[in-house]
Amino acid sequence: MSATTSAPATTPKARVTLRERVSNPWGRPRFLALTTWIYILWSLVPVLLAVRFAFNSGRSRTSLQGWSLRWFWQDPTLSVFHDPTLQAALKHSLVLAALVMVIATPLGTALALGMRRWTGPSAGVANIVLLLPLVTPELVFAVGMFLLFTTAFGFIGLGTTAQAIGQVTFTLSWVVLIVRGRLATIGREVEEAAADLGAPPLHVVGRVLVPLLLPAMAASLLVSFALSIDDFVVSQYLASGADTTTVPMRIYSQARGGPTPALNALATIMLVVSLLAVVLAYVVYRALTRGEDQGSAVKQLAMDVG
Amino acid sequence: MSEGDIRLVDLVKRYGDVVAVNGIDLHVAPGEFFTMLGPSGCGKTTTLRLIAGFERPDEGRILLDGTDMSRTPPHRRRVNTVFQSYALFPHKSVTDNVAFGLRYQRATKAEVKRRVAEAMAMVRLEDYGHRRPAQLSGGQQQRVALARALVLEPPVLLLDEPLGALDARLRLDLQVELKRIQEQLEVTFIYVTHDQDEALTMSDRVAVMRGGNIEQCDEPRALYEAPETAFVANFLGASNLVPVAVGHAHGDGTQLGLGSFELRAETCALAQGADAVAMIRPENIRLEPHGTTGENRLPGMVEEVVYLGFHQEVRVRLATGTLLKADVSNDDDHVEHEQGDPVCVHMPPRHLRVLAADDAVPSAAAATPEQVPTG
Amino acid sequence: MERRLHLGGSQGRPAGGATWDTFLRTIIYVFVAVVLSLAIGYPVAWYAARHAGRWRGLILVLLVLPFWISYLMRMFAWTNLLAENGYASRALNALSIDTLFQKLGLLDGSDWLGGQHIAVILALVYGYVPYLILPLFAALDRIDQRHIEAARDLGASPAGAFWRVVVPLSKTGTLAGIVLIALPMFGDYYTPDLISGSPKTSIMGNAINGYVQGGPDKSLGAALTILLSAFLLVFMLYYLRVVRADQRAAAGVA
Repeated sequence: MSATTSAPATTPKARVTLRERVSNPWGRPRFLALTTWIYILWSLVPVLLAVRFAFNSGRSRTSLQGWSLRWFWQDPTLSVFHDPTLQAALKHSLVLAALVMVIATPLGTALALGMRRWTGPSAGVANIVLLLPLVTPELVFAVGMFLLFTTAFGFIGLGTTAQAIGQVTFTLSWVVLIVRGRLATIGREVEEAAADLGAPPLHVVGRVLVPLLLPAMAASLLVSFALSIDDFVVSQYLASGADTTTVPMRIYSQARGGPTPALNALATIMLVVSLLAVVLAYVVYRALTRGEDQGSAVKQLAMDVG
Repeated sequence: MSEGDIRLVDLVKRYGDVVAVNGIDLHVAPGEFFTMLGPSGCGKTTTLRLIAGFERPDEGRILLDGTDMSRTPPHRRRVNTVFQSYALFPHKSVTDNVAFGLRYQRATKAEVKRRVAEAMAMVRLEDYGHRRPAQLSGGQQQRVALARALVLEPPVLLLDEPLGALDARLRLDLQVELKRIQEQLEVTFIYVTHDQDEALTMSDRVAVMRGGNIEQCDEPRALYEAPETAFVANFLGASNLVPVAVGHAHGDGTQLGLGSFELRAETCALAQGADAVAMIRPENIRLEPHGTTGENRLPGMVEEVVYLGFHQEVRVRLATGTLLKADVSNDDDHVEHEQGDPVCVHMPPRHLRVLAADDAVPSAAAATPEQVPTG
Repeated sequence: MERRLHLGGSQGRPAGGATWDTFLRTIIYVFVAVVLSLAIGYPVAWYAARHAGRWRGLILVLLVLPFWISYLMRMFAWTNLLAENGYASRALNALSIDTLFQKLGLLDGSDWLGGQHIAVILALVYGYVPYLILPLFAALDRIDQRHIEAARDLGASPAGAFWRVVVPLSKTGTLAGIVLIALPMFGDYYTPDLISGSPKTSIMGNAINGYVQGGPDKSLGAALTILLSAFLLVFMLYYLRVVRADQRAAAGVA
């Protein structure tokens, strides 16, 4: 490597002329850094402000007005705790999320395990079908589900069950991705070793795979929870009335109607809950895989190469 | 019926268009240390996996002590495997790893404890039971893998390049240990490697494989001294492969034509006129003073001398243009060869082996004869 | 009710007119939004991939954060800010940006939340640019630094190296990212509903939503959905192909 190629764009030269600075803004890390931080602020500050408004002591949703918890539970009629519509939305969101979490995780894990042995052209199709919800626009997906539950599956109809089924359907793709990622790290040789030592297939799954998959399953539980909480389109389309309204739906219906900061409070609660779920997913995954040498996965890969 | 007798009959395995194992016949005797040796892609690992049960053969049979187990799933076969990457269970301790398979042998708790302790003692890891695999070195992990397989007392143990990931020093130590354990337990070992030194030092018999076939299956010494094909000759140790024309056979051997010279080989299985190479090991070439007469002697010139410590490699260009490598030991009464020296190359008839020419195997290519002295 | 599978609608009304306008409007909105998103997202992704240094971990977390905040919540936040006395409205007024936009014909009146095309487009950008930045980041991160160094070695300026080496090498990732945000935009109805509330800005999502949820013409909504899906299928399949090729390439290396 010649002496002229010393990390060109990252080490600022001693004296940068104004002309250079203007003529090539892209090369200057400072400009990029500024852009990035401005972007991050632009991206997050509105949400932070919305959260802040939830703590307003006055009724304004547009200006800061002191600090208070009235919108959470103190206000006797309008706070989240006391307003029946807001409470119902909160409860329903949590119930739905719990349902989805508990259904999608084992189902998705079983699916990921089952698809391992699937080879051939039909497996490719199955793969695409699995990935499809991730690239389908939500509206298309929701309309399809809506029509399904109003016609062929009319006996189930719209409502909580339909909402749960709809959400589980696209959550499955995520769970399978997470579990598959973990399966890839585990590798095939431990399975073969277990079988080689006498373990019948069910024991291989139960004694070796599932214990090793626990981190992925824990992460899946929490990710499904967060995905369900944040979902809007699918739950709206599959709702059957006021008691199947979720928090995002409630926000959508009230946002333009001059609501009180109680709506902000509701949104804040959901935000905190879903962020907690995600952070927990990450922490739990790392904690459960700490006993393992993550480097051995790399070693394994390296060995498969050589 | 003795324990640990493996017989492969007409074994075939295909992956799409690729034939990984091409109709192999093999017999491994009980208690034998048997190695499958060959370059990557030759089918040795596939064969091992077929014996273990991780792949199903397309054709042929796999017989353990007379019973065909080609349709038996791996967990019911009485063979155990040591993997190249060890494949230890990361979430279990060393003791639990080793004890894993004992559950399927219905051993009592006391029995489990005893057998695990014995296995750990055999691989010299007695005090490591409570550790997790991540806390062990490569060599230690390999020994746990070994203990885990041997604790089940299988008649046959399969080893898939188990020392491949270890450094040279450790590898030598573990080779000795593996051999010791194998002899002590009298278990049949079927070993796979691409390292010819490993194969030669440890094995009772070696099958050299190439492209899904067995080229030669013999004791190490026989493979080295009497290779049957150019590939085997080249794969095991250094060799000179000289293209020759096969002449007529007579009572004392066969005449070979090398350019304008004639050589006599003591044994030759090829017919007159066949496309052949004469194989001679570098250490069997005698370099004699220029002008010495006698059969199988050709004039040549020293092109290069490479000093290798206790021996040197002398590269000689023959009058025919062929480049030969001779191995000369540096003991007290050796002759010092220098670049440019004329010399007489003597290839004793009993050390010449005549093998079928193989385009895939590099031979001692003939070069322009300009620089070679005549006569 | 018989359903006729043409744009004439199930009652023989030529729904083509209004629906066609909506479709065109959608295309324009999406196009502009994607371009703006690229303009914003590319430098951010480039910085995060190449120059972030010790801030890299933090920046990545902050870039991923919007994923886990409900989309509704993020749009809702803007309704707070763009309302008549909201901080954003006041700021834009103080910087005279609203008068500038009015002069340019981009802003009709002074209510940002009252049927403004520009507001909806910017809201789309706000909503979807995080989904663009991550694939861009992945693509840019994958580029070997040595390509850039080689270009510089051969005489390219930093800008030259960027345009002639980095941009082409990140082409696949960029295209995948574009597809990843353009597709959902075609199904978006809640952004115009929240930010605008006026039929002036209704796009395909609104049309479909209106038919399916609103009136007796559910089958028209279904038909429109199918047409939209067919239109998007091309892009969806392309995206899937890129992802699988990437996976295969990654698996091939390892």
